[in-house]
Amino acid sequence: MEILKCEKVSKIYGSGSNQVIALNEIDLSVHKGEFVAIIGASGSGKSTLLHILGSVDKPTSGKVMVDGTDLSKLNQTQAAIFRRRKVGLIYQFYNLIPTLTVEKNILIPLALDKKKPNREYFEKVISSLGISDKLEALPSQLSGGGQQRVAIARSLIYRPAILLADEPTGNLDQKNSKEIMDMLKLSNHNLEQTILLITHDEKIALEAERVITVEDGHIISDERRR
Amino acid sequence: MTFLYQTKEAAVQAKNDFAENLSNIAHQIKTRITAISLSIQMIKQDVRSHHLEQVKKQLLRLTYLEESLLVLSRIDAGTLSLQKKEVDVFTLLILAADNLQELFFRSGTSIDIPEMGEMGIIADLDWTMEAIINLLKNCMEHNYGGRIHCSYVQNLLYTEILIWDEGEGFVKEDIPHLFERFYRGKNASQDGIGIGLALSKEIIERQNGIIRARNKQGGGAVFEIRFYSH
Repeated sequence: MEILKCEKVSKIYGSGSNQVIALNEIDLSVHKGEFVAIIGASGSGKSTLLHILGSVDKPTSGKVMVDGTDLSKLNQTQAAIFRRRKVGLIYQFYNLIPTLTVEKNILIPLALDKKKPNREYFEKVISSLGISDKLEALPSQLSGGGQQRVAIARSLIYRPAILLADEPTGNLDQKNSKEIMDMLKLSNHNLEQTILLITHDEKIALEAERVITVEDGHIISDERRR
Repeated sequence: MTFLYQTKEAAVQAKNDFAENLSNIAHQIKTRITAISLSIQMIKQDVRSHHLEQVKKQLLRLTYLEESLLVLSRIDAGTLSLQKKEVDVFTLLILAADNLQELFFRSGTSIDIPEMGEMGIIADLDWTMEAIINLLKNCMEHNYGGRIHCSYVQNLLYTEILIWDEGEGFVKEDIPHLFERFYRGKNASQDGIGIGLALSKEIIERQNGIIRARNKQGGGAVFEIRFYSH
């Protein structure tokens, strides 16, 4: 089942001689349950692509379908709501609310919709991320790896159509990086979670089953592991 | 009669401010040209790449100065057009932070932008991003390698965005002058011209907003921005 489709997606900044073409007519198709890495140098357009797929930014032209919704047709409010419910976002930094406990941080997306969590699913997520004993802690009391795990739990709480991770291990040491990659692979296997991971690190990219290379706003290669 | 007198007072004040600004600008330009001249003298004696690097750096600062002055003059002349549309606050903050990725990486600064739900303001995305970028840069420069936090709330009257760091906070004497053009605080960075915060204030105020700066209880500096909905 196709969960993500980009058709001739372009993003252009500025105008006239000052124009910057960040993405140049990108075509992309991802199926449910895939673990895809998108690799490129900074300035390659990979961050721009991430923001568009995550409904944080809109393309200048082209179509982006995520789980049946055309993102280019959403207004700002609809885009924000869509993002909360259908997209899990994980960044290099953890984006946790410093004054809320770990548990409250994880449940924030549901709380914003005044929804009650499915307790069974919640337990499943926190135990696979190894943070069951940290629920009452504040973010500042956890290590970098711990905080990132909380961020991942939060991104999974709505069972998003796609999980977008932007350099999720960028701020972590090798041991924590490996743990986080293992967590992501686990949720990909156990929860059939579709994951798109953006990175500039080849080693990280090779952990995925499909690697797409972006350069100068184009996809220059798309390889699948056999 | 009093009104005319006040108008004359205001005009004289404005002229003096203008003259002072020109003098500040001239000084800023002179500093950089002096540095470039010195570097060139050094190059004549000893051609080493780091002198060329210095020249390059000063030229970049001059370019930044020129661009900032142009923006300020457009604002003053009323010719800066702001394309106001509905802008999502999370998008605004994420894209602004994105622009500083390299700087953050080099300085080891991290930033937290939690998602607090859909909140829209009526603003020009690109210019408001510029305003936010200057505030983030200011936090980074005064809390090198530290952590910057963002949060935002919305009520019936306004949308409030808070940007704060965990650094030393503002020097008390600087606070009333922070947003003045060319004001450089006691701990100003070498690269600073003193226009960044002034520009942020102009952009925010032209979009039905206000900005305040204060020290946070418990340490750190915080910028409070409010965009009013009326």
